Amino acid sequence: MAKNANIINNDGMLLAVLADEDTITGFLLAGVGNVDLRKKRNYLVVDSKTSVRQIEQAFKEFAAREDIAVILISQQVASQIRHAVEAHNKPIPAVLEIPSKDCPYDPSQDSLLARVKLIAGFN
Amino acid sequence: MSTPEASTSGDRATDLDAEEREFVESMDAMQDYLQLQTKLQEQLKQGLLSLARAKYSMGPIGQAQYDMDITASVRLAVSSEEAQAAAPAASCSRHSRHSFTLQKAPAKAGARAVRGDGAASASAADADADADAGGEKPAGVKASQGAARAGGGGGGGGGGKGPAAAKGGPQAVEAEVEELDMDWSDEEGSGEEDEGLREANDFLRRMRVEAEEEASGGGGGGGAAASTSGGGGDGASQKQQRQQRRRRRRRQGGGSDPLHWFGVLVPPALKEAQGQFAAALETCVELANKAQRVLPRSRSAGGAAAATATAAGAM
Repeated sequence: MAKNANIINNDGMLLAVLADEDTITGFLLAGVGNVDLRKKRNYLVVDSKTSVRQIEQAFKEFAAREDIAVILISQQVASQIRHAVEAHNKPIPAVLEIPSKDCPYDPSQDSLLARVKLIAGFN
Repeated sequence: MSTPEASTSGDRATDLDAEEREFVESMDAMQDYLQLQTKLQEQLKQGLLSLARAKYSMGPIGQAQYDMDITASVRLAVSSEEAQAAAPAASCSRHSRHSFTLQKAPAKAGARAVRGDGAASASAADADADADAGGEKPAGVKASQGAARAGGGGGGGGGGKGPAAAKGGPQAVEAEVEELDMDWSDEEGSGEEDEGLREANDFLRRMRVEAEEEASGGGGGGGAAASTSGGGGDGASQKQQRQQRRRRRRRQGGGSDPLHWFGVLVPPALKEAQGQFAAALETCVELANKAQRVLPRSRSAGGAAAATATAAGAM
């Protein structure tokens, strides 16, 4: 199988994070955070006061951005916008569900695995 | 597993083989994916625990302390593998796989401290130079830094910085002096209202100028002359040049360690948290790569995939 590797973006693409405050603080410490010239951030802190619409809007924004390669979304947040996450089927940006502070990783909620189940035909 | 059949169904046999192989690959990838998720959870848990410990020593950590001008020091290089001939037109189609590699921007040498860092040491130096009363005001003015650190812990560190700057090696001194100065050029004239503070600021500035003249051997003769004259007119113009250089460097942004948002003396738990989250980040990238492989890519399975994708899209 001939495989040609194309580098899509030489500059390096960003990660976006949608999670609770502590997780985001941690990832920001690791160097993920980015604020560009238009004051657009690549992270969104989700707490009890954030509305579902805000979350969905941010997710759609991240998905539409050209310079984001991976969206890290904690499972708690993902279940709030489950419909938007499952509707997203572009390979870039890839959506990765991470466990959140309060609830451990639950494979039955991961939309990636749900899609595989559908494809493989398990019922 | 392949049973040799008549040529007409020979293709179908190889198709089935390929499908089966892909299925097995996909299942393997899924198993790895789940294992990596558990690993990620562990790392995140440890990172959050260190963060909680840091919060316990230094007060609340939160959104208020994020710096406004960050640039990512961690980026991803994406390279795609084209699927075989099936979808030649689409390079980014859902049939192509992508692999992500982590890239770390090289950290700029020395301490290109972000404003927050300078604010902390400056306010600490103030508190030290001007006893107690004045110390509260600058801490209040630079309100962006967490109130939990006002005076207190920073004071001892700030006081040690002044004399240490005179003694340290040239590069270290310049770095520290840059840290101290980074904020001054921002704040002078805008911050302090108090006369006593201004005097203290001048004193510190003079000390710093002397220390820097000692350190920067570059302008050797000029440096000696300036130090003997005690940082008068010459010192002022040199200082302006230095300030311009510093402003230029600060504009470059990026590469600075977000650890510095939280002050100069950060609890070691915070550094640990940083390392653990960095490790968690690497696991995340591995997970993203695995996730690409879990989904089958071939067209035959793609028949089913297309059907389910339209179903998912209709949701």
